Amino acid sequence: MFFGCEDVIDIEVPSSESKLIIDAIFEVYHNQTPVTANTVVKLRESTDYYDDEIPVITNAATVLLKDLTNDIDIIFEDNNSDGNFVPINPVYSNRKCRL
Amino acid sequence: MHKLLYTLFISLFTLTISAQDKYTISGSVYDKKGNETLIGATIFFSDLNIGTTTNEYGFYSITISKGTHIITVSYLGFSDESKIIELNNKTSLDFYLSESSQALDEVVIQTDIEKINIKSTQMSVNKLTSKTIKQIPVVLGESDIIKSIILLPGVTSAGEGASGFNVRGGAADQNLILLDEAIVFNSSHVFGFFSVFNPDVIKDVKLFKGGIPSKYGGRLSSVLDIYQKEGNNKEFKLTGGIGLISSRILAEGPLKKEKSSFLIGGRSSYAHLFLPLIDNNNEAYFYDLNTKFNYRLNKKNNIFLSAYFGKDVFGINNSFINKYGNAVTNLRWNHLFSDKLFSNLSLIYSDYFYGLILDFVGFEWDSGITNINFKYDFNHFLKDDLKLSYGVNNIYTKFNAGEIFPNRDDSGIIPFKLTEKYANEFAFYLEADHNISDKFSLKYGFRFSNFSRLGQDELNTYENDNPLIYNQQLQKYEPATANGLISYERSDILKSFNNFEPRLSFSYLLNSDSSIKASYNKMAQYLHLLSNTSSPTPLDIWVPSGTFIKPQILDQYAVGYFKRIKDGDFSLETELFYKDVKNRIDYINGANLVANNEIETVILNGKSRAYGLEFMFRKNEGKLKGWLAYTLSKSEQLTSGRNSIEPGINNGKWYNTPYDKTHDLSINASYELSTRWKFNSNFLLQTGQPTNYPVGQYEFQGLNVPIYNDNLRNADRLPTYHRLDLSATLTPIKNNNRNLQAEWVFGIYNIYNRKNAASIAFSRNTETSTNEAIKTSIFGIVPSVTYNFKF
Repeated sequence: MFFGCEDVIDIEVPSSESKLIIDAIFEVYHNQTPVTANTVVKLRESTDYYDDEIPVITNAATVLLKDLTNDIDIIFEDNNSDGNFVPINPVYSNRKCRL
Repeated sequence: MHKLLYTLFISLFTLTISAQDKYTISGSVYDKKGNETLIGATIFFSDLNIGTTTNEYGFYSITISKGTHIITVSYLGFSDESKIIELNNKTSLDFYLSESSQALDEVVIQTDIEKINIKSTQMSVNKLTSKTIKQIPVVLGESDIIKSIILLPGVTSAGEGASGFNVRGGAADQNLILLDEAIVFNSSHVFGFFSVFNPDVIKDVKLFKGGIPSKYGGRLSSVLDIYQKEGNNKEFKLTGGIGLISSRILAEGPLKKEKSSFLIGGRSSYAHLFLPLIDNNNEAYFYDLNTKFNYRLNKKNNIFLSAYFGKDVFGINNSFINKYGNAVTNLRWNHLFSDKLFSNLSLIYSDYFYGLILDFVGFEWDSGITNINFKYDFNHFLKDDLKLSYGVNNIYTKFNAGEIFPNRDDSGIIPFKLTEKYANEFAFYLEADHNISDKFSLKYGFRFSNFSRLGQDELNTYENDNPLIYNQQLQKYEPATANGLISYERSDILKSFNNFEPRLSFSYLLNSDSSIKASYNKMAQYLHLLSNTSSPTPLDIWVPSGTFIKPQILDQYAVGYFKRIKDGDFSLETELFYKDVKNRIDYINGANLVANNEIETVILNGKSRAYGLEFMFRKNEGKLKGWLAYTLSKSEQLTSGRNSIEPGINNGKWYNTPYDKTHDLSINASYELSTRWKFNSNFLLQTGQPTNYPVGQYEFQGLNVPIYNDNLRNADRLPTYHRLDLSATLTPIKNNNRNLQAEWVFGIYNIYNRKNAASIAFSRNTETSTNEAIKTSIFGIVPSVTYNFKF
């Protein structure tokens, strides 16, 4: 009857310009030789709060990981056009890199 | 300004000495039934067309020319009392008024709705009696002062289940709440569902929204001045009520007949007793206790001792327990130095505590605020057209910002105590109430306040004295790290502030039924409440002004037009106000306020302003009575960056305060069908509370996260709040010939079951994989029944 009732409601929310969202976590396995990593860089866009689909950014983008010690770029590619970029060559480095 | 006032007062005193052939008539006005003093009763000499009112202790004094006069004493809800007096000496005269409903049975229903006084300089004030408050339908049948004042123009609540109230676009911490002159820090039980004031014990409630008299200080927005009854000193009486949620009982009676009386009132909720029956391990209960003792030593001396104690306990499954409460003790002495000089000396101790237990992590938290308040106030009734009020006030406050300790042996919690803070606030004031002519009345005065932040252990120091750093690269504010700690002696003064607060108001009678009034008041507030409004359990922490937090300073201007229609059967009150507050602090995005020993690292200094139009139309007489109150207002805040690089809050632009309500409409109507049945209804409509909605979403590691715009604050609003309440009061006929007076109050709160939003949360439904907006509403339709009795 009373006390803290919760309902799902329809309410208008503002929208804003979409932004590039880079969603990536680098799992580096230092206990393996050579050191390997499991990495997916997901490129997405932010979207309106109620949108069901999160827009993906596909081949239009270039994703690369730079090894700061030797300036070598590791190129990521979106093979399936799903916005998920994976390295062309497996990453093996324990050095500082910059995305 | 100082000089001008000084000259003015000197010339006024000189005037008094020259008064001739005049005598003083003074005394007190009582309720005949219980010898309870009446506050604000009018004493009027119709042949001279002058009058006065009784003060907070029922005392009046007026000096008039000698001769034969007709004196009429009136008070709302009571029958007038007239006497012919032959004045040729100093005269002492007390009056005993009877409640009008008992005086005559068949007469026109006497007003118990508060009539306006068009002549008084006091504007922006609303008065309610305990009787009116009890007739207003409320949730669960618990009559409530705070819920009643929300029906007045310019007063809004933060919503159901939110503690406090907002006056004229001011914050909840800007209300000075006084119970028998003692400061009450928390006015609500069960997080705002009920207020801490037991309606049976209350004698008089006054809310000042503007033109605040010089005797009050320390809070900017309003003064809610509540006086408790003294207790019947003629016979023993029991009053009480039995409701669904709580019950109350009040016993009062003489200790020594017509000399001394006592009053003891208690109230307790008991809904929690039934929770175990439905297999519910939660608990939520409150209780409070009011006691008062008074002794009339003689005509010139009265002593009052009163105490209030209230406590709330709220627990979920014994793993989360929240306790808080107020305790107030107050000793007062009324003394008449002469028939023209009334004084009251008060010594008040007040304590507010707040505790939290999180049993699952073995955590206990205690915080509180304690103060000792000394007040000496004088009413000096110099002449028939001039009254002075003056006094001194000193408050010493200790702030226990919080202490964390393990609540059991196996707890991993490391004890930690936030630094205790100390402060002293001293003030004196002088004010003149001056009837310049039949048409023109003026009230002018000032309050001087001094606030000293006293020495404490371990005060942080920061590089360049800057506790908050702006990170330009990340474009956000970050707390600075303290670079040192200084400990001070308690007697050291860390920082001291002085403020001169002038107050001025006037009224001008346009004709016998209408007047215009205007007022200006400056006020200073030295204590600030840090409360995270989005949190369901606000850890209300009061912090004093000091090195890092400046006192808030208010300037308020108001003008109004007041009209009585048909000899006061109807009345109209309109007021325009403008308020400007300096040094209003706000929190940076992501500020942590809980158990933060370094509050200065998460706040920015800003300012606020509010302006609006208030309108109130009342019908005071007849079977149908009530009022319509409408307020159109704006309340906003500006927190600029401290230099050209910083953005401040909301990009340095004005933004809504969390309590900005554009429209606020309240209608209260009561209808007396017969002597047995009486009906009452309320309708409330308020613009939804400002809040923030997400501006988008993004995906991160498979989670959908809402995005909020950090540069916008309070830009959206909850849906409009509205509801309709009804109540019916049944007075059994058999009351007439027996001692027991009883009534039944049947109420329905929120009759069309509007689910008003208390908050809206945004989260993802994992089952449907869609984003949702989830509204929390507190009360739907709530029927209630209360049985009130008195014998």
